[in-house]
Amino acid sequence: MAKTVLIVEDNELNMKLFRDLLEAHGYNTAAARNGMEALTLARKYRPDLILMDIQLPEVSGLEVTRWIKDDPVLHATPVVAVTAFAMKGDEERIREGGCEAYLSKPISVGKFIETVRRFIG
Amino acid sequence: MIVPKLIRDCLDALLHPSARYDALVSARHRAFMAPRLLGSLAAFAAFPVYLAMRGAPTAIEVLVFGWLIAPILLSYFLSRTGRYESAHVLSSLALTALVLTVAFKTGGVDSFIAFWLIAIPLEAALSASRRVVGFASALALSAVALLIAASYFDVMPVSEVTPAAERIFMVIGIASGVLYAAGLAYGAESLTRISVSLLYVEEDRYRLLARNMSDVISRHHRNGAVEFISPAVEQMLGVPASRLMGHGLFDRVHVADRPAFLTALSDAARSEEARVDFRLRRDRPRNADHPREAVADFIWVEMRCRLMEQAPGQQEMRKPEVVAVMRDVTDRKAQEHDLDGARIETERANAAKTQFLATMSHELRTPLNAIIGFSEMIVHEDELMINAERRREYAKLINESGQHLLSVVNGILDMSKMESGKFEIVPEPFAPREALLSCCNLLALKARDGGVELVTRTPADIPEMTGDPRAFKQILINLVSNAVKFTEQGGTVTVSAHVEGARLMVRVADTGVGISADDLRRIGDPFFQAGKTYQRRHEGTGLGLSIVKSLVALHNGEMTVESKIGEGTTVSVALPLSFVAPAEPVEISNVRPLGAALRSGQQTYQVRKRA
Repeated sequence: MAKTVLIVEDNELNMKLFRDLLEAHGYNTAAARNGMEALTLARKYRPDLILMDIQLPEVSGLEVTRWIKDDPVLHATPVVAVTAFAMKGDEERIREGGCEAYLSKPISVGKFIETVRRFIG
Repeated sequence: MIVPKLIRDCLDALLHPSARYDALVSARHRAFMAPRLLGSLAAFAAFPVYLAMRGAPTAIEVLVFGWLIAPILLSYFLSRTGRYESAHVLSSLALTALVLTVAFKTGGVDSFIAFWLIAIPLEAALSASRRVVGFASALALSAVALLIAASYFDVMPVSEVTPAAERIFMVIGIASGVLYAAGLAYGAESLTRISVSLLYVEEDRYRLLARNMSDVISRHHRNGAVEFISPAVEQMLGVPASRLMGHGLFDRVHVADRPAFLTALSDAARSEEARVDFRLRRDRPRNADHPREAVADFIWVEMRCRLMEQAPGQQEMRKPEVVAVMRDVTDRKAQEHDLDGARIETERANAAKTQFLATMSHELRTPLNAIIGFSEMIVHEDELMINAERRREYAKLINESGQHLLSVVNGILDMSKMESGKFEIVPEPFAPREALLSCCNLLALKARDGGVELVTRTPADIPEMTGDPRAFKQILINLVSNAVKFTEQGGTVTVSAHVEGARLMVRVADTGVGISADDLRRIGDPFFQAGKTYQRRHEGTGLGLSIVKSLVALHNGEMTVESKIGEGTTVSVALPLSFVAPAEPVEISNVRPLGAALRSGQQTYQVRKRA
């Protein structure tokens, strides 16, 4: 059965990029544009992996990650941060926020898929 | 005048080293030695003359003259040892022994020499020592008692002196006695004079200190009550010292500093030195503006206090007191405050710079992600099974992202040009109303997409103006697109323009999310968008308003931002109808809160540009 990846991303172009990339590699995808939607969809689809943009409208991706990690059902779901925050210290801060992995934008397609595979095969 | 000076120099040479540095002690030593040395030497000088007149001397005469060596020995003793009290005691003993011996030989208590016993306590009076005076008085009284007892019990030898010689002795004795008394009187007078003049010197020294020292010295009870405060305090606080006694000073200590003030005093009372800075209320002299009330303000005072040293022998009767020195350090405090302000400002500027870089990096990376990602997918089109239609779509997306990236780069370039003063304004006449309407038309679609109503209110009679029409359009597009972006569905953005005096007033009002007071201060800083970093609600570079601010400034205009969270934001721009170049380089981020202009709970801040 195909694995499901929840993409949390507010930029349409980037959303399309991640979606097409993942679907081309045979994954199912769900798309959330903000934090609240991300939590709702995560509960609905129980994804195998969550790709999390950090800068989101309303609630930051770090906050959403915290909710997921505190959720009794979702807490085991791996969260990979995909963010354009690539300054010194950003990766540490994001990993401390509970994300299992960190990918900085612009992504390399190879590394992106490799990281996804590492978590869900 | 030479002889006294010579004598004085000789005497100074004889002073014991320990007596040389204290004026009063050296005066006493001189007063001890001078009459003794002079008397003895004079007597020696007179001895040959006496012998020539009297012929062979009697035993008593030899004894008396022999005894005249004693004062020289005593002076020598003092000169060598510096023991002034001992010298006085020895002197009393020598004189007593002489008088007693002579008196025994010359008729006891009736002798011409007996009245010399008076000299013993008198001489001791010069010692200024109660012990010496007591000893000398007791000695003289004992000698008198001894003489009386000797004549009562009749153990006195028969006087060897003939009545004729006795008369001569009487004359000599009285004359020498009066001379001696005169010497004593002179010595006493000169000692008194010296001590009085020393007192004056001391007093002058203290007066000099008190008059020229701006520090205030005070004595406190351990609970802080003032028991003494130096008059310099009037200079410092504008109130007489008498009004600060007791709790008068404490009442002037700033309420917030009172605990520190009391702690310092009680620490000092426990014999730890303490130092404290506190504020004191000062009364300014009444002036013409406020003739009725004395204006009060606070000065910073540094106080050092310690337990007061107590005079020996008084420990048991006095409670511990604290002596304090206060100094006005207001200027120093003001400098420290300015330094702090400068430091905070620098830190803020550094933080803003870091923030600027982080945001710029973010804004560049977001479109780059799409460009690199999609192009990489096309590279692997076979693996990913991308057909021609998909490829075209990706090419379009890459192009779109590239355009966005270009606009970000242009924005950054415009910003940096404006910040470095290289953005050129090309003034020409143009019709502001038409420019405004065309900008609004450009954005009408975006507004409709977002469900926002865009209303324009521009009277038809707005005159032509001179300025840079590109800059004018840029200002409007940035303001209106910001307003549309930050307004929820169903909201309204109103763009209005009218002429006020020689200026065109443009207002862009929205019913959007609003800006918090804290963020309002920073609005217009490059890349700044209200709200927390990771929690950005709206896309954008954060450069729009910053560019507006600079363009308005380049037109010698003024920009004002008013906002209330949840109710909306109004940006007003005033531009001169005829362009005048700013006289001085434009300063970015000169934002000032308008504390006084609060409208019924609405916080208003103003972004002012200097002309």
